[in-house]
Amino acid sequence: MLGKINAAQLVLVFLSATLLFPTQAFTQSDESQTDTDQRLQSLYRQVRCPVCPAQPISESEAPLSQILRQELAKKVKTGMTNKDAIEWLVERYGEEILLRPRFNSAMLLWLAPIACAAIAILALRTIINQAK
Amino acid sequence: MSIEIGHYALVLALCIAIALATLLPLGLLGKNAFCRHLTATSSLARPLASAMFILCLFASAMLIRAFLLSDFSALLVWQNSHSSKPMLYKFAAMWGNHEGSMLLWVLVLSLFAMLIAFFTKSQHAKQSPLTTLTLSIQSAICALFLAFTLFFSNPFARAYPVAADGMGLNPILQHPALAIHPPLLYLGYVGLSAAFSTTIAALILNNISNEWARATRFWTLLAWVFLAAGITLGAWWAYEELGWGGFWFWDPVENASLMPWLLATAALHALMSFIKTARIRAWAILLVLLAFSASMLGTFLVRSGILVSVHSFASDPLRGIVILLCVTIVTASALALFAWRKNTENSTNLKPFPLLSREGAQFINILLLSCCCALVMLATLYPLFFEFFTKRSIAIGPPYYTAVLTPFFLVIVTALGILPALGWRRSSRKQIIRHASIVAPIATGSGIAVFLVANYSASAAIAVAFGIWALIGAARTKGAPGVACAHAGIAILLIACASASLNDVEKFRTMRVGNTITLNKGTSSTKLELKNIFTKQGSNYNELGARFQLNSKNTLTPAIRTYIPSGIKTTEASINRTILRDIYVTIATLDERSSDSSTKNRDTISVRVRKKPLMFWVWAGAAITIFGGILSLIPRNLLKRRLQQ
Amino acid sequence: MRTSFIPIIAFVTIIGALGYIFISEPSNNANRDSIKSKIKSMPNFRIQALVETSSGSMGIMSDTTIRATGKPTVVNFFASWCQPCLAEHPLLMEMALNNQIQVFGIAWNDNSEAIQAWIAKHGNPFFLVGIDNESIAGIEWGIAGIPETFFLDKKGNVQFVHIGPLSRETMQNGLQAIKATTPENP
Repeated sequence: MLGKINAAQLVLVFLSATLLFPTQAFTQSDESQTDTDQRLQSLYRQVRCPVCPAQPISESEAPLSQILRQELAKKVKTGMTNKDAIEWLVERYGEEILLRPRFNSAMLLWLAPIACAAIAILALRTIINQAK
Repeated sequence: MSIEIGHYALVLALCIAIALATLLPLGLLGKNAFCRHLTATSSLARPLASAMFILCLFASAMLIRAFLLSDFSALLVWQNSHSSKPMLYKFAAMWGNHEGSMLLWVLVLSLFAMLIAFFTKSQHAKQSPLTTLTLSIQSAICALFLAFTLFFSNPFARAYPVAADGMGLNPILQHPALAIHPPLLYLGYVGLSAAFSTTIAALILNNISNEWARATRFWTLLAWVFLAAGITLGAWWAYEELGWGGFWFWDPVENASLMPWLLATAALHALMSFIKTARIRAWAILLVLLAFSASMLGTFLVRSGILVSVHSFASDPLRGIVILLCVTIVTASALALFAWRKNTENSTNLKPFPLLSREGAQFINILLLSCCCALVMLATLYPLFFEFFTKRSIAIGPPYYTAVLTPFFLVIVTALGILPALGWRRSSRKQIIRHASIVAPIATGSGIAVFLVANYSASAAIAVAFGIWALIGAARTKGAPGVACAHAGIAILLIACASASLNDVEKFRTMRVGNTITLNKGTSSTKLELKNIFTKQGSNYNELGARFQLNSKNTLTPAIRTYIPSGIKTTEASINRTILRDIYVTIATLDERSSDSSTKNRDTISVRVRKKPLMFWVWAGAAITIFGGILSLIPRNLLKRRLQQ
Repeated sequence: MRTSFIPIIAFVTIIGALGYIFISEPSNNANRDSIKSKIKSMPNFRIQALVETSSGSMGIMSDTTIRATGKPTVVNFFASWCQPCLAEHPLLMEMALNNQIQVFGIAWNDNSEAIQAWIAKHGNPFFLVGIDNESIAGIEWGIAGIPETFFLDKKGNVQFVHIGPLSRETMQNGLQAIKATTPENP
């Protein structure tokens, strides 16, 4: 349906468009958006707001969320690593404050993708082999 | 009075459903002339199916009428409406609760029953036993859900004594997108029942043929389009209305709508290469059955109260158990039937196909999509089991899902990108290498460019590289334009979702009038100046807002509303959209002390500003995907004729 | 082929498990709302405190202060603007009379005048009232909301935490945990 000429034109249009857009969208960040800020952002995304059902503190407006963000910001800016900050939180609120379950408490969750991938590869191989 | 008429209409619909379910198989088994007239497209079945639908429609209309007239003697209206609500939301309140939405379920089920009776194309299909049995099974499912609605979730109950006014509806739910979101979603969700019935019928008749494949593909595609539209609308509402800045939270109810969609996508791909291999045949059947089962299971999860979510309906344990039983009966019978037929099938016609072929790519896609669905289900149900056995609570949020699903999705997207170079049953190595050697450098180049420009963000680079690989692959896909379009949409969606969620930039400040916040320096900097802080009185709320000027051009007015009867507070975000990025501004108040923050005179305000790159393309990508689906629904010859004119 | 039975077996297992869980615990939502504090021992903290509520004279409250009492202690986070705190207030007054324990209060996210007024109006069960405006103590104690009450033994180990207003039952559980039950409150 898309004749050869049309497809080529489409490709050219997409090429030029897509090469421009992402680069423009991700513009230079100013000095304050440093490594620390990015670390902080990713940390916020992993912490659950203690009073909301399942929202990260990066998105919740609850007062406690804001307090936690400020505390974490203070700690990270004085050089605490994300790992230690998480430890500090878990000491006080338990593992349920994390939105990304730890391996030890949720082994099944982290092994499941590997198991799925293994089963998928197995299924693929049996079909391909049997078909030959 | 009208409520009762609606109730009787529903009862009548149930009788017709039972009649259709039991009479139609007679048409297949019986030998006499009368029985031979009992086909799906006969002068008996068609009117009955239409009548069933019209009765359900009438019942729904009676309920909607009660809402529009604010008839608080109807229990449902009293619980979910208020006389001051705008007309559109009174209308939409009909399905904004459990009983009303069950009525919607039943309405869509009966709609598809009617479509099955009327929408059979070829003459051969009209007389075939497949359609007859399909209609019979669809009617049986209708009957089951009608019975459940009538006996366990009656929307037509009365409230006595009659209250002066209703208990209102959550103001967050008063948004146009959310008004249309359930009907669209249900058309998809429940519409998968048609494909399900067709497949069950074919299994019973032990006749998996091209006719089955064509019919099932059509029903699945139709449902898929609606489901995708419904999910997108839901995400859009969440983004606009909730003020959280995100559009997908991996909430159990969201997952409940995503899982059928994933399975339906896999089913569609399996059905497309159905004719080629018997093995994919089995997967096609299984996936169609599982897709509707996932819909039903989702219904159970959402309505029983077993999972906590911001979306859940009010729950009732007895109701939950009954739903569970219904789901179990339907799905278990389907899967047992599948196992039985598969077992007794003699697997001839095993045409081989190598991995590097369209069938191979389809098969990889099917497997990986099924894996994704299985993982989403595991993560959704895991907290339940965990809390039951260890008495501790656990939260599984976006970080888990993105970490786990991304690898699978990247492989799917790789296959997507190489699709144009693959042939049915074989591919030429030369073509593959040629395609890859042109596209891969382009994709890698873009990835590297983004990596350097976007502050060394690996996630942005990977997303863009894979996205462009897929996009060019999709653009070069010959054959069905719908397929190319849908694949292109998915590629764009990938790039956009990755950049909007993982590469957003955020700042949180307490500001006074006259302060500015700057997000970026350089050519596309974002500067927001706080012009003033104000309070406003709306129709049923008090509002505390702030006016910002963006880059000295546009105005942004985020606000916090406190609704008067209920005291519910909502965050109204203000969004400035361009093709490249969204600027998302919200007000945060630290003050829990003031119960009515709107009356306090404030001179400082806490503000969160977010810049989300390529957010527009999330919606555009979704729209393109849906459009691709719609294109695929149009029969090929029709499209050819139109394009040639 | 036996693989055709995998779907149905998997389905029945999952549904069976779900059904079992659902039937045995239909409403499990209590522990979903707020995350209870998990601290095992009293954290280090230091905040201002109201020593004398009528005069408003200030002092310091810290973990040392609490440990210095030498008795099991009850630390209650509250605020003047918090309705459930008022609901549990009578139980706190009761515990104040229990001379086996010492009751401390920490006012979270509040201001001194409002606290003084609240205490003057309703009564003071607290040996000392900490003022935690910036949530310095709150964060260290792992507060998710108020009221939240901690029962600590003599050594300063946290034996029992309750989030939400205390009931007689939870108060008794707490007192039992720190071995401070009285004839009136066994």
